[in-house]
Amino acid sequence: MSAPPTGDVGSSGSDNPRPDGMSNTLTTWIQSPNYPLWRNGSFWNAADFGISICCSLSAGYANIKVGIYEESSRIQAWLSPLSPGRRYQELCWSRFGGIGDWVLQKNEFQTWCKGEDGSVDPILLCYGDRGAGKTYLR
Amino acid sequence: MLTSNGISALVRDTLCRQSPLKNTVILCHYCDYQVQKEQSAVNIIGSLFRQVNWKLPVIQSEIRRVFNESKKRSGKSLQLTDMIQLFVQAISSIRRAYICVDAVDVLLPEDRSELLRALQRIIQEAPNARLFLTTRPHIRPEFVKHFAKEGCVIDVVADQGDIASYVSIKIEYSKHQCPGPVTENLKDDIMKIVPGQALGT
Repeated sequence: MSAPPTGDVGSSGSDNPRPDGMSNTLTTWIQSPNYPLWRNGSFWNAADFGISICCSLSAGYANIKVGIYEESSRIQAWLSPLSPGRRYQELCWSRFGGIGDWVLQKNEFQTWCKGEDGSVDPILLCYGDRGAGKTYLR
Repeated sequence: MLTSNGISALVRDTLCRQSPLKNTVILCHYCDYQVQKEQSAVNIIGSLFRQVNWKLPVIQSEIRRVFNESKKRSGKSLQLTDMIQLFVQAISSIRRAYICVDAVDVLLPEDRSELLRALQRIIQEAPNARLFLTTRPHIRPEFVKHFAKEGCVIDVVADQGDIASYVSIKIEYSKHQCPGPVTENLKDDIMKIVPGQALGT
């Protein structure tokens, strides 16, 4: 399966002129089974997020509607009012490659990450003062 | 203030990218002091559960059943004990679950204590679970108290190389935004002074 086309799916609408070739490509992608989403290098199923996507073409314009399965959304909210992705997105606005990589090279991390169940301690704790780089480096 | 995302997000992304096993989930919660009152243990475990739910449609049917039963009882949320039981049941169907909770120290003491007890129970009941926690060191005795073994420990100090890299990147970025005043000599001076004054050192 190929990666989805570039472009802001959410902002496409009848008020925007259709970019050449974009709408057909977009339609093919969106109408493929289970509406795959491209996130962080892998496909996620839109249905897992309680999301439905409908796409139609008329008069040379792509009309895209994004909906949310009401029940899935209600169940997620019932499980917890905390939205798992929101804080992560806030934290990842400034990403600089290489910073913090020393932690990944530590034996403790490698063992915790890759060791077999039962042969390694399942708990890895990071202690550090404010500003040391646990959540932010500042 | 200069900020860059830290080790928690790095670990999360590394697990996602390099996870050695298929059929693995990476579940993360970043504690936020700005919404401290909402961050009860049951809400945090529920937030982790929401991420399992995304990945495992089979679990959705069991959750839907419990949810529908709950609706008959005026839609009350799950109690922590029931939440843990369902959560353990959910992750037991996968090969490994990485659970990452950042900044545990910012939780209210009673919530923190309850969360640590809940995580301890999850680790005990789900041998395929791995737990990664970050915190300031002043609550280390609480961790020792709640976990039978403290686990492996990494002490995080502001790495001079990281700070130097970060400052250098910011200076270069600023030069593109506002070309002019940052001369190479000034850059050298900043690079000498700022890393040593970072809050984490």
